[in-house]
Amino acid sequence: MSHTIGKDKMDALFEALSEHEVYGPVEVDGVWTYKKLDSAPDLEFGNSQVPPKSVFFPQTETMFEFKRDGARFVGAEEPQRASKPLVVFGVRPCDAKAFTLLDKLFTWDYIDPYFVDRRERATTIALTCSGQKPDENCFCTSIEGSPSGTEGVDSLWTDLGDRYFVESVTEKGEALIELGGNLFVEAVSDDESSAEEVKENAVKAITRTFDRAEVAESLRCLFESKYWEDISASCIGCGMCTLLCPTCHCFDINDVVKQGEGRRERTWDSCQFEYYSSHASGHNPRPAKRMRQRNRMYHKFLYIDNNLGVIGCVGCGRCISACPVNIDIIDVTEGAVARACMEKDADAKGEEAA
Amino acid sequence: MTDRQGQIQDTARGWLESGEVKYVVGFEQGRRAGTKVAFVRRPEDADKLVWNSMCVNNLTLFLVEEMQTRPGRGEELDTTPIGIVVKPCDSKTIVELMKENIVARERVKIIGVTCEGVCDTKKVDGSEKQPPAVTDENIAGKCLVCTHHNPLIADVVCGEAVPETITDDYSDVAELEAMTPQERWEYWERQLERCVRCYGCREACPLCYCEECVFDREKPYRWNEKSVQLPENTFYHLVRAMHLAGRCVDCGECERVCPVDIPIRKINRYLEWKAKERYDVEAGVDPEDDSMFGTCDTADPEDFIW
Amino acid sequence: MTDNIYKPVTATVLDIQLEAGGGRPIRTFKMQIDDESEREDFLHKPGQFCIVSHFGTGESVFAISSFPNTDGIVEVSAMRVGNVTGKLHELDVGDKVGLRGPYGNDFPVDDWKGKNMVFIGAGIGISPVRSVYQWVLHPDHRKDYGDVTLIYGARTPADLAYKEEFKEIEARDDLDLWLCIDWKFGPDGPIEAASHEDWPAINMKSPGDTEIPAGQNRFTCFVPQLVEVVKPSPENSIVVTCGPPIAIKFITQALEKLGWSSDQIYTTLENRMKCGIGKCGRCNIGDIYVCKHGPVFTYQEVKEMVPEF
Repeated sequence: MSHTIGKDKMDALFEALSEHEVYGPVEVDGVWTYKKLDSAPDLEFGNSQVPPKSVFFPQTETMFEFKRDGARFVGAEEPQRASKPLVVFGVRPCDAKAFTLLDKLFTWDYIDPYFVDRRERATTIALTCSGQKPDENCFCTSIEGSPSGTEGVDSLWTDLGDRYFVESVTEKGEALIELGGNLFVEAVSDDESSAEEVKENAVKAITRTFDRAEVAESLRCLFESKYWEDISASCIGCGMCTLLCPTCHCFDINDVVKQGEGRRERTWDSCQFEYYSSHASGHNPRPAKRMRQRNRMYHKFLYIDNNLGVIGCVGCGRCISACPVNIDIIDVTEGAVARACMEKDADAKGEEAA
Repeated sequence: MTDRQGQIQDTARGWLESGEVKYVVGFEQGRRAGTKVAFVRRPEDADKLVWNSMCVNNLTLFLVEEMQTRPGRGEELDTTPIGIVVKPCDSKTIVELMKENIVARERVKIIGVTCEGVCDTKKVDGSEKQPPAVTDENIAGKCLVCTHHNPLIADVVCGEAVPETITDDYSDVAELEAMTPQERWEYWERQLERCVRCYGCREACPLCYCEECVFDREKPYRWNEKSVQLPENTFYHLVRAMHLAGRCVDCGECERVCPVDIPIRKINRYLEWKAKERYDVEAGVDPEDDSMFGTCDTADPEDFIW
Repeated sequence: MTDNIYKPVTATVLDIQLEAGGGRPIRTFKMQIDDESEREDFLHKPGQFCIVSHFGTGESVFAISSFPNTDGIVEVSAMRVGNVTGKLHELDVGDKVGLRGPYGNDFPVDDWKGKNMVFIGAGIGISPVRSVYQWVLHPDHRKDYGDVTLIYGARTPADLAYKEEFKEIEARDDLDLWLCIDWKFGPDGPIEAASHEDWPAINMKSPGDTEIPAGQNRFTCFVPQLVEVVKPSPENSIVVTCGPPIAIKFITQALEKLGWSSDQIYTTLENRMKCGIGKCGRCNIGDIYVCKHGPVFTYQEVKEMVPEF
């Protein structure tokens, strides 16, 4: 059953969630990130620059602290992990879909306690794209996504002007309705058709597409190609495309000692950084940027698929918007398909000649 | 604009035909209004070079890359010059890089382009299909205080000379100086708190050319923790700023590439201002100038040492 | 609350042996997990690795070289190369370290029952091999395997690790032990004058034709050439080999010359790792995560990987 909630009821809903940790998009000087909220969420936005993976997998987090005996650290001690339920407002469906990839990764044989604990406690409220989204760099529909998709979503909201159309996707979504009580009213069929229209318009707004099966196929025969040199020639080696990616999950683990206190923490890392895979001996398995760019593309479109059965891209377009030299992931995939055909033809001709 | 574009293409084609350069780094049109970096290796590809309001990148970054490329085992270093398209602000980078012995003048042939200003790409709608005209609304911040609209160093200058009409009074950073330390700290806290440490500002900066940056160094210890938190972010930005003091030519790349819009130019411009005021240093003007940190004078003010 | 897989258990250093000196010394650390209730969880299989913490400095990954046990005893051999190994080398007996693991796959020792076993270690590479030869040579297991050949080389006699253990091994009559050192080489091979009198040089031009005096089992040469001298038969046999990448390359070439196929040769890979459990990303070689799919691979598997080592 569907509901609606008036935008004027958001303060009251926030009040009703007083026992929850509430997260949502926050704007500071024009930059949107997801933060813990101390007032009702503002959902009038396009999408955040930094994806909401940060709610479950913060860029930097303390894993545990060290116990001390005299001058030395002698063991690890984990502080009590938070136990309050979480609510995350205003997650775009592509970013919510990315949560399901992270779920697979962080439970792949070993359970990552930090991520999994937060995910289990959380209710994810997604927001159908409308207004500024989808924009010219969105392509979720090319990878089994949708601007109103419900993968990784507990409650899907669609903006109807003065109110949101609310669809409960999971039991957690239903529990939210129950908790909100009379703030939510039963939807009427007009609401449903209005929401349908918003959703259809969102799909129409997406202009970019590619065939991911074809891309995967092409990549398989391009590993040794000079293509990667061409693609990466203008890459400056920053980590934006990966740090801002909702599915990228690489991290670094480091011990930090400050003012006598020691802790182990983890921080997002990027395969685009030169020293990412360097051994302690100094040997670097991917010393050139063409190798690092190639690794990023292969990881997204082949490796994760081989290991976890999903591809490492949800079509949010952040890497395209942020790249300082306009490297465009769809152009790279399209180029790969064209190049693979070309090289295949050349090989065939070479064989004929031989 | 188009006239300049034609001159750029003709020059690049000529150099590639004669073999004077092995390739030319310039701009080509991207999918929409934005441009991409082009590496033109054949004369017949010179036509793809463009010149417009979205030619924002400082391409000297790729000149540094060329200069730092070492030959593979058993190979000989190919010292054939490369060609490069530069705006006047970018040309200042080359001057500075020559001063620091990073760029050998004979290994680069410079296509300098006179410039009335380019767009701030963040102020241009991403869906725009054609490069827009530069307006008061979309002009890049650096262009508003630019005092060099004509290349300072070039083998060929494309475009008519542009008269210099701007005097830079540093009023934008003087505003910061006028704040109380508390206000100023709060201002920077708010900005640096959101840094994601992608190091885009460092990677985009042609003067951040250290082959191993102090922030990548792990052995024998880390100078800065990897923690993406205010103290570490601040330390990173301050150290980077100090390393650029008296060297930064305000090409604005750091601020342009920042995915979370940190006003990095403000830090660098403040130091640029102080370098000028205290030591009469202006970066990127004359390759024969001394470097600020490489020289000292008994008359230097030392009021920063308390 | 979910158990924290990243949280190491505390262990005490029981013994430290200097195995090799020089600029990058190697020490073997024998550690025991403090909490008795945690000891059983650390029963490893030969080939698995563990992650050792120097609290306040960080973690480092090591092959477990000791025999599988439920006493919480873990031995690793560490070369001093980075920050963590640097600190480990400064430890004293009685100091505390952190341990997590064991992680990764293992050598299929059960599948190898009835086969002849050849162990080849070069330098510190003997460490992951050690857990397997200890397994095979254990009185409970020795009867399960055929002939055992152990080939091991290091730079100098002093750099040969596990000296006490090798004295015992050498005294056994149920295996062939071959050793080599490669400390002094000129452009034309070993420098006669520099070589140790007990360690004669082999025929470098054609190692296989070297005349071996009776009872002589130690030479001056590199490990791959020693393999050519020993000529282990591929018949119903398995090789377990570890060492620096360049040594592995030439050892496998030597073995292929002797008729060995790639799937009879087992080795371990060591990439940069942080988490050790397939999350943090950096140890991948293509879609292979060395920490999860490895560290044990057949040479055939290694050859099929993308060339990003």
